[in-house]
Amino acid sequence: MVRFESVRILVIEDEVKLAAHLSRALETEGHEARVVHDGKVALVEAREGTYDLLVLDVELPRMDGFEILKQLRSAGVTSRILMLTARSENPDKIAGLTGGADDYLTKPFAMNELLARVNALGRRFAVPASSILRAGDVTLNVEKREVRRGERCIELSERECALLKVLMREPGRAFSRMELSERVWERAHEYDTKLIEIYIGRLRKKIDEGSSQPLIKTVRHLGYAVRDDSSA
Amino acid sequence: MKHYSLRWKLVTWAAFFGFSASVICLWTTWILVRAQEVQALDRRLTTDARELFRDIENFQGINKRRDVTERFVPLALRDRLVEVRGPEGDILYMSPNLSEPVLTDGTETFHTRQIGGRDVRIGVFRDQELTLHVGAELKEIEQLGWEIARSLVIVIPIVLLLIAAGSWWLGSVALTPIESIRRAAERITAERLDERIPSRGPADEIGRLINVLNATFERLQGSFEQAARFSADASHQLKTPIAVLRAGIEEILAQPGLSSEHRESVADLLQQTRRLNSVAENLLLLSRADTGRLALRATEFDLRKLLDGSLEDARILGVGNDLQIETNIPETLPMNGDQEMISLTVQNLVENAVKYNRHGGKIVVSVEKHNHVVQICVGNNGPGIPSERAAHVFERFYRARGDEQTRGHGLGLSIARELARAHGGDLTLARAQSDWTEFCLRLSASSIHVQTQKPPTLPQE
Repeated sequence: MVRFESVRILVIEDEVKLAAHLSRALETEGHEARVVHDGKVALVEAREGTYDLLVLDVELPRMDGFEILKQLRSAGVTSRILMLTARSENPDKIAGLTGGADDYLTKPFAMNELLARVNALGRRFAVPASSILRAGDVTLNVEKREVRRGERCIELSERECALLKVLMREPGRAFSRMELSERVWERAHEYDTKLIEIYIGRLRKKIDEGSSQPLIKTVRHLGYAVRDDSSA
Repeated sequence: MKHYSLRWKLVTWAAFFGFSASVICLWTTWILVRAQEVQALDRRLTTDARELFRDIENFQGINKRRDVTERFVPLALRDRLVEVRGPEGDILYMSPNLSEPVLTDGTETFHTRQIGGRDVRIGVFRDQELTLHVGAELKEIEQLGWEIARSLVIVIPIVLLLIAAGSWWLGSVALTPIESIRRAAERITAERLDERIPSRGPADEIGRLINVLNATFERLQGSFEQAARFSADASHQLKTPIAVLRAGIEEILAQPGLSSEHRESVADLLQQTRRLNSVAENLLLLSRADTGRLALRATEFDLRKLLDGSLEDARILGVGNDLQIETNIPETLPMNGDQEMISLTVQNLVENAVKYNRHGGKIVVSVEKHNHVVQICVGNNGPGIPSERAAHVFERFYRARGDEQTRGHGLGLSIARELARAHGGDLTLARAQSDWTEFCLRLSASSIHVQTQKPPTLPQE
């Protein structure tokens, strides 16, 4: 497994028990976590402390998460922000992301998912919106639904292409099955794990068969990632 | 026409009653006038008879059987029908305008009879020896009748026109406030719930109707806001405990000392929290749909690609059941709508077609596009839905086959239908035969309807 560097995190969550679970899980992962339960206190703390990352709940007493986000961004705070929201409606997600949040997660979430996103945010870079994606010796042409590996040219189906596209846009980042389901099937809940496994199996068969270096890795207890050569 | 149907009805009925009233009126007048005229004629006949008796008496002297000649009939009575009979009933005189003795056997003093195709009024008078029949044609009176009838032809259309114009005007006076109420009510449901129908001064029938409607809108707004608040609160109140539950269970699962037996039961608990969350998500979605707050995000996309993806899933999921999939889908299907919502709807239909199919069954997906409406029909060899259950398949938590074995919680179809309706379309059960079940999804290919699905403005929590 890839080793992640420690990140200084401020957890802003009014539900005491959930906050406790969050900070324990983050600390187990090797991060440094501080918890705040109140909106206004959180604003001061986030502005004055030097945090790499904020885990910010939307529903908070005294000041809601969107307002905190707005004030922090206008005050020039550059910490990465991961929003937590109980509302899974689209407009909320959009409001969060356009308001300067770097990522969002809807409650309830898998802890592994949260950790994966935290790790990803610790080293996220701008992903070009290109229709040609590269990871190692593999090139994906999204428009043509076509993968090139060395001399081989492999055609992909609609779902296979969508799945590989999500994985290859952020090489090295582990995606949980839930996140894949959300990105590819556009549904976070009621997802069929079996289906994702079958598509991954097909992709492996098409792309990795006969190759000494597999492109798609299984990340234990979490999901899948594609090999990232730049950090290997 | 349909728009003014009430007004048209009013005009038609008013004209009908107006017409009947004028006909009855004129008919009654005619009967009275006729009776009057006949009475006057009778009086004239009596005078004539008296004059004749006198003349005949003067002429006959004592010979009562002497024939009477033309000369003794006064000039004034030349156009009358006259018959004079002696004591034994023998005819003493018959006026020349009579071809045969027809005025006989009359016993009543006055009566009307047809002679030679014409109505004749006859008076019978007796004076000791002689019997005198004097008749006059009713020609003039009948002519008067025709005069009246002719005037009807001119008067009635004028009367009808006046009635129609009057009732049309009355109709608009009575209906204008109702029309404005309709417009106001329409505005309230489509745009803003806090608007009210402007009340008018008098507390007449219309004023009271406005008050009742406004009170109804007041209640509607109240429950609407409550429902909207509920869905926002519920989403927080439901999901926070589920999130705590899930985080707690995951923490337990992460402990290395857990026995495999415990691990299995805790893993099952985790599965149950996922299920609980899925039901909560679906209920919240329905609750948003009910309050019209299903915020849709319209984008351009190809429905064909979306269907391809779903069918790919169906091929994988149906492989164990040996399912055959047939498709009839156009090469491209440009759509403008909320891709996520439409995807959810399509996936639901295709997954149901896999889930409820028999072994070796078929799934047929056909898409047709007419103008701006796309119709997607998904049929499968399901066991069919009994007709008494077919009406309920879109109800929440309803399971068509009543078994608890099948996966899912009976919300899929009702959600799919709400999403279709939010896109200006609908979802219907097209066929439910014993070995063939087919659902048809209609969608508007343009986002015109999507954009009108505005959430009502609500006070912020």
